Amino acid sequence: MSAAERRKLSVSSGPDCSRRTFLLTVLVGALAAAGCGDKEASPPSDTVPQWLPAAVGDVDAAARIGRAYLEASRGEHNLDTLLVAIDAALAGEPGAAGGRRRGLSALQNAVRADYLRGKSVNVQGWVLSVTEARVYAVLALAADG
Amino acid sequence: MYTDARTLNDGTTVEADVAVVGGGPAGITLARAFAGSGIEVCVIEAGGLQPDPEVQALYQGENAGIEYPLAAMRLRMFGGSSNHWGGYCRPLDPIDFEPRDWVPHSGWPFGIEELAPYYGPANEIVEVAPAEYEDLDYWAQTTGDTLPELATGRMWLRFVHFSPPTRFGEKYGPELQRSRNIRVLLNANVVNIQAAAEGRTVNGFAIRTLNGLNHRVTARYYVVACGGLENARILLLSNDVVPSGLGNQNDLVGRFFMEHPHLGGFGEIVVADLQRLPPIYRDRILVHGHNVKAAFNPSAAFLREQRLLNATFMGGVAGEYHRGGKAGAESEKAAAHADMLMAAQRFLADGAGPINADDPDYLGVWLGMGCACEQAPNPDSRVMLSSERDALGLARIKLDWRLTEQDRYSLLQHMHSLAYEFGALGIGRLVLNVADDSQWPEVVAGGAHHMGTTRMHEDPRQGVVDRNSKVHGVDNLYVAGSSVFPTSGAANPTLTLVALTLRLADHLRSQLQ
Repeated sequence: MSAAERRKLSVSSGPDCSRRTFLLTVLVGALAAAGCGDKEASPPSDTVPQWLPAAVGDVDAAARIGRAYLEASRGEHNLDTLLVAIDAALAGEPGAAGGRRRGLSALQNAVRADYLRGKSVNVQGWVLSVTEARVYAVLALAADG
Repeated sequence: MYTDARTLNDGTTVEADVAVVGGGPAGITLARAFAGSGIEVCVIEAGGLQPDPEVQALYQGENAGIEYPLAAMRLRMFGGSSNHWGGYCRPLDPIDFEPRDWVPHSGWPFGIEELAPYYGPANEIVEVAPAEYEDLDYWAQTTGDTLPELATGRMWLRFVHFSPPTRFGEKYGPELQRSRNIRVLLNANVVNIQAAAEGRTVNGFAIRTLNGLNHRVTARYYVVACGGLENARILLLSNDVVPSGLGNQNDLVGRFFMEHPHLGGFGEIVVADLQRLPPIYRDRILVHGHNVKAAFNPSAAFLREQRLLNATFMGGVAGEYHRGGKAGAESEKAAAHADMLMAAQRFLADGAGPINADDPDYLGVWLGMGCACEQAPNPDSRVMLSSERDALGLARIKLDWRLTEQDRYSLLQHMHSLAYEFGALGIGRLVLNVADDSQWPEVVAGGAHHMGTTRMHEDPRQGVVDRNSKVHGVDNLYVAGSSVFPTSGAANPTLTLVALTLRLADHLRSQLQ
């Protein structure tokens, strides 16, 4: 990921980091795995977890879907809200604690679990896992600064 | 023996033990069941061996409800509508026979166990034997593929077998022609079921030809087998003794018309890695001389839990996407599909690399989906007689096909289930093209499945025919075909109507003995 892309994904957030403990744990692993060791020691509280872009195949495409989700879910037009919801969905999934690879695995499990349980949203006709849609929404917010 | 009714002397009477109106799958199956026996059978077919526009025009009619192409949905010629049959075969599901408190007027007089012995021979007749409709392990072993089981409990897989399709006239006509005890009367239109004794018995079929001749067929037993629309019409037209129509003393003939509502293009599914979707889930696979394909159906448990109607979904690959692909006429849809494939790639394929190493730009495919759903029995969805007349001077059909919110709601729930199954298995994502606005989309169409208009019920106040397909209150008149289905399920009706006809043949044989 280029510096410009990292800047694009940098979003200010509130001081309450406790709700994002897990995501941030994953973030550290993700950064390490991505060879971004210089960031490991930095407090990541002002950054969107960088494993999220790696969780999708194409950030721009995901952001376009994410914007459509946010259009229909105005109450979630907030990074903290989205991250907390994603955190909650990942909690308890196998692989929830650990590095980037395990974090992605937990997300994939959470998304599949949403489909298993019928926890879906309609995004321009797409029947999507709520967690998946929120991941796309985070990327949309990040991309739009 | 074939006889062209137009060549008989005017006023001819043909005598038989069993007279059958209609030379389609039901009529031909019934006649064949008596081939080589001592029972004389006369099959009365309104058409000839080839299509004839003048004959086909007799099927035109009037619509009072959802638009329905009455003349295009059936064929008036020997072999009947099997001449344009698509060949889809699958038995009804056990739950389809059950009374369900959330489906008004549901419940057959018997369970699937009553028909089970007849489905095997029916498979032979429609040329899909040996048939295995349910066993996933069997199909995994037969295809050599790992077949993922559906995961949510909402749906299960069933396997549709495709008849060649059997054109009953071509396939079985020569056998009937050779048979000494079976006579096929061609170009013979039954214009009245002649009743006696205040409608308690039938003593003849009145026949008229398009060249103006009048004949008569008499028998001990009479069977009406001319399709789910025409069966009702012919009973309603036979009103010289019973003014409301034969068998219509309780105003049930023609009511409860059911189709399998089809919504072509209701949605698409994008799939990134086709290795996750075995061929039999998306293509017809040739096995044992005929094609087979998986269908996605709601499980009985889910239907009970959610109080829904049955449905069938099938899909096939309709297009492929590549990164940077050309924009086409459907570019907006294609762009949305491509976006989803790109966004969800990590959920739908292994690893972060290209899905296809030989084609790094490959994104995946989209599946076109088709559905056919159960329509709840509805007395207001009905066949009536029009004020318009056909070339024989008979009142044409007036069809008022109606669908309800219950039908629509069920289908929409199952569409979501399909999305959940593909999502839970990490195979694909589904986009719906229908709005959840309590309206049936205008594209809804029938599948040429005409059911329910002479429904079967033990109680004459709730059904036109009894459990043996005998018209209530008439001692020697029977109905064959899908018009006797009290509920439609979501399986195409031909296999079941053939099985039911074999059962009727057994009953008539016992009566004749």
